[in-house]
Amino acid sequence: MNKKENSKLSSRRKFIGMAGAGIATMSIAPRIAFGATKHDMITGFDKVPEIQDTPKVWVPVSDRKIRVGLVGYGYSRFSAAFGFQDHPNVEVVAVSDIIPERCAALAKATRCNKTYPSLEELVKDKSIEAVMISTDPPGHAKHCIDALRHGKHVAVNVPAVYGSLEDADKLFEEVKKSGLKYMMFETSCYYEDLYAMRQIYKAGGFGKVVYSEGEYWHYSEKPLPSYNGWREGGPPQWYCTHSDAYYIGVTDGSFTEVSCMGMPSIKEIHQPGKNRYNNPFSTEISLYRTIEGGMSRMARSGDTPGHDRVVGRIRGLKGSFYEKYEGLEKNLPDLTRPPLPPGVEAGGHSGSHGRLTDEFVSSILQDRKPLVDIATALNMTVGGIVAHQSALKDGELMKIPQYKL
Amino acid sequence: MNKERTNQLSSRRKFISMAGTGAAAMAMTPGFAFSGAHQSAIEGARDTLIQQDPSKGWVPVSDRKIRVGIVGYGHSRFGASFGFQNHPNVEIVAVSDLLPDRCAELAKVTNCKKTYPSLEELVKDKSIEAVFVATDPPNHPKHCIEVLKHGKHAATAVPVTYGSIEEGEQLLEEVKRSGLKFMMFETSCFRADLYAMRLIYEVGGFGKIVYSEGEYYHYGEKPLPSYNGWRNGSPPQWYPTHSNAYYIGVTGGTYTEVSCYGMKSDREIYKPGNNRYNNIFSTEIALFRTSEGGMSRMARSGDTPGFGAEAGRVRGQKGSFYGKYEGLEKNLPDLNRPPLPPGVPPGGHGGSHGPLMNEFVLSIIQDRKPLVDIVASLNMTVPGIVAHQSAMKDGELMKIPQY
Repeated sequence: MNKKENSKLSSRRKFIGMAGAGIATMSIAPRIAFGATKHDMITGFDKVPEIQDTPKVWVPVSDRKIRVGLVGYGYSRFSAAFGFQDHPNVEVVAVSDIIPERCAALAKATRCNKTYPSLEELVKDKSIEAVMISTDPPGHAKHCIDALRHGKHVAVNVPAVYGSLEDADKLFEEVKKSGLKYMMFETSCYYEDLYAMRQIYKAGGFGKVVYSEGEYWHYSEKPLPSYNGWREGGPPQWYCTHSDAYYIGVTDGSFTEVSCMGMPSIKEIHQPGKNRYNNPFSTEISLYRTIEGGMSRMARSGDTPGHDRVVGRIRGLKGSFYEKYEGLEKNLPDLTRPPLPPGVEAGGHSGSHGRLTDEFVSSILQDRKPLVDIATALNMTVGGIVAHQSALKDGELMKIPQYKL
Repeated sequence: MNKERTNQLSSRRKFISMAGTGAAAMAMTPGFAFSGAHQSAIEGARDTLIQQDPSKGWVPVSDRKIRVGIVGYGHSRFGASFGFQNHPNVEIVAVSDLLPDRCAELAKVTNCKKTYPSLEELVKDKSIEAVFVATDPPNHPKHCIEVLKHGKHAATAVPVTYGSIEEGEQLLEEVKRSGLKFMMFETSCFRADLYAMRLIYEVGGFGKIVYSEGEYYHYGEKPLPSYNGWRNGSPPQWYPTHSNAYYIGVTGGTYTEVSCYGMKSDREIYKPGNNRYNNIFSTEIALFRTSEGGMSRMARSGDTPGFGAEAGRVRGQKGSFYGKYEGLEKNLPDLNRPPLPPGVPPGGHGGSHGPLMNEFVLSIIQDRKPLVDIVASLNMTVPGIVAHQSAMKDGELMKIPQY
């Protein structure tokens, strides 16, 4: 594992011979311990301490600086949380939030002098090459399309679209038409375990994935604050990317069919007439058919206290991964996550923030596909939209649209 | 937790006030490592005795000895592994196995002198009051019915019926007609974690169960040995009780509907024409609707190596259990399993064997319903049969018979 790297990308795919018995098991240290149920944090949002968890060294691919605009500084403060302002290949040109105080706070946090009162104004700035969109999920599709139409690369927080299959198709067409980079910042994709699963899958260490499961358990008595109250009574499976990543993000595959069940919630916001979504569910459990012919159980719950977490597992024909690998493959590839540029924090969601940013920036510099591109982003998102439709029809089996570039 | 018990059954339902903060979480210590040296990382795949002394608090309820016959000493050697021969309220009158060598060995290990060449012969012995049926699953209903028709209480290894709803229902009728005790020895029901979940559920510590999950992952390159090869190529969800117990055994509820998927296995025994069941699946994942309106994911897999497990978890409106309780209820009852008579080992499957056998014996002596009665047995078993039908129809939603 002290292999010298010329290209961090190609080296990930190479097998590294490991001597000794029993080394088929590569232990991943447990990620996050969620304790008591009463915390106001978004599950998985914890920062990891600054441990250098990879022996790899970041190698600059360019001395160019991408000119970036950041939009949205809401409850989660995501615009400043991904470290664009600290990346050696980034210059933060301008920031925006429609609430002036937040806009000012964002400018301060990112050491940026220029602000715009809205995304619509910011994207008119011709000096900006790429925009990071951290607005409200119902606005994601519209905002991304707006940025792309103004010729800017786009990174967006999850989910890619919120509850609208029509938005998904529009966004897909716009990304294809533009030829620009699009990346969804699904944090699970850079969790230590999921990242390792992906490397093992690519190297054939699982064979086909027979069964996978992911879950996002996040109990709260009351909804978290949200812009225009988009979180209040939201269908659980409309926010499905943290869990769905445990199949889609491992394999780059898709879900083809779903049966999903929900249980009417005892929470006030889910009683009839109490939310804009006409949604009675705070827990929805999906059983998907995968493109490989396997199965996947993806779960979201907001009304069951205890043991909150974002986590997943997979079982394949050749091995399984439950925080570590057990299986038939004795030679595993390098499983460690990519190194971070100097000054960029690993950041929240278990050290995924900094890596997502670096991947997006690198994809522009190297003119290549980012890890979570538009096809993968939509395949991670639309399964949940159809799942909620299925849940409203008491588990009826339904087909899922497929996105392929 | 040092509450003195006069009646072990009623005391389980009583709240025991626990002082201090964080006491709502009762930890189950890890134990029982599956799949070689590496302990399964999935939470809930852990259980061991939390009692230092499994006999602590045992109070004899009778000096009567139930006259028991034991049938079946196959690959799992279940005839002897539940400890009937060690129970102070049991006398092993006779044993049987179709294979003479096995029959002789079973007699030896249970310290029993009398043997019969078959179950059919053994049940004619008028001195026997109760029979433990540890034969091949395809014969469980037939054998149990035979025992009951001869006026004997019956306990059986899992599952209660093997792929046949009709045979399960015939057994149900016979149990009702006979008025005798019937119990299925589903081991998960007396694992430390499931037993604790059941007690918490009974006192309302979960509210309704919104979501539960159980799994029985057991990889083997080749099928285990089995009588007449019943294991070869068998449908995974026909052996669903270890996993289904993590809802049915916790709540006493039922499954009403299922959508189940299977994935074609690449193993030789599942290729078309290679098994008697016309079964192509070695992994089947079932999504059940529960009688409470909640959901349950129950999984079986035999062709995915790594992390073997018999485990489960529940999430309720008021709390969740993943190896331990976390939730809103601060006063939990005593979560320990009932004490065993001195000399009875807790035994296999997470220390569940001894408690299962003891429960059956006590249900006869105290003339009460055993923990896993015929209704619970069928509600744990039949949904898997329907799940396999659903998997054969590519996930079609199907209704499940209710008992």
